[in-house]
Amino acid sequence: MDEISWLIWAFAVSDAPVERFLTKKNWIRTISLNSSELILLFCYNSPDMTRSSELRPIPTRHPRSDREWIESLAPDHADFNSALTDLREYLWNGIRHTFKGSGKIGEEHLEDFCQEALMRVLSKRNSYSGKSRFTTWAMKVAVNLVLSEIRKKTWQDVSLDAFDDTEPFLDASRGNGLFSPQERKLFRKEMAELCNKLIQESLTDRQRTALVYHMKYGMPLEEIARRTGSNRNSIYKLLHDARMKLKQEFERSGVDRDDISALA
Amino acid sequence: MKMKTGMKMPLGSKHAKILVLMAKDSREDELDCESVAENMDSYAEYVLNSGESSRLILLIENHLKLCKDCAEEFKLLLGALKASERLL
Ligand SMILES: [Zn+2]
Repeated sequence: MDEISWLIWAFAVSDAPVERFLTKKNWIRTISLNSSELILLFCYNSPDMTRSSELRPIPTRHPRSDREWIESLAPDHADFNSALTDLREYLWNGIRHTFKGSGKIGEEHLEDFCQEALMRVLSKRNSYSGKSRFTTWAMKVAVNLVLSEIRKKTWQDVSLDAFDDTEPFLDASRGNGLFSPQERKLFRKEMAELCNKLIQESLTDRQRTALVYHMKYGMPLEEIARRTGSNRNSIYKLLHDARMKLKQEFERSGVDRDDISALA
Repeated sequence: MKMKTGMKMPLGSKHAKILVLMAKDSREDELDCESVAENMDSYAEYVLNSGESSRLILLIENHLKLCKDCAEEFKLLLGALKASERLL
């Protein structure tokens, strides 16, 4: 028995939170493994399942129904290995195509995230409700995980001191044919003052902070949640309440769609 | 890490129109990110196969207009599905 097999066997019989150990990447992370993940580890450490950044030729196979996917991804199913290979290839193809070249992340990280995604799909497959095809659902799970990881990686070391919160609301530098540059400048200035006033006076401190970091600096909701000890849904709700409040205030101040198009 | 609060001049010029438009599109019965995430796969199939609209579809579209995080995720999902279609 080689080292990794011994480790997995030892963890399997202990049935306790364990460290996952992948020889290829030297990963050590503390997570709980379930039986299907253990089998996945075995598969990934066997020669014919070695990960490669290059896609292998597309195997000839019959398309699986959603039910067949679910059944064959059970660790004790005879078709488990081939289903897992096919699913990995399917996810990797989509993930690689979509995220590669975004400049945010190297291919090696992308492969790691994709493998994490495969594990998550496997462990969550019983929550698949059948509202879409299984493969669409699996891709959704994978994209969500990879994007979350990329956002985390992009934002984790960003210091808030890097942001300049003194930039004026409107610079009134652009114009179009509807207004003279002077009229336009005045209008944009008025709108700027109104927006600033409403943001300052109508929103709570939490709403204002979330709005500014999200809109001005593009900080993802998840990152705001992480930094404020909240969750994405609560931050969305916070922003929703802020928007509803501003909507009310804009209506009260007589801002209509024509005003908005004049701002373009 | 704490967030800086009490900002005096919050948003840059390019965000003014977006802010007003977003306020206009806001509604009491908006879906939250969790509900959109739950339905994003069926919505992707609706878009890819030109399916029939429904109230849920309209609410998802409203959310995607208002939530750039979910909108980005959805765009990436569509791209990934299209890229992998040939493998099915
Ligand atoms: Zn959202």
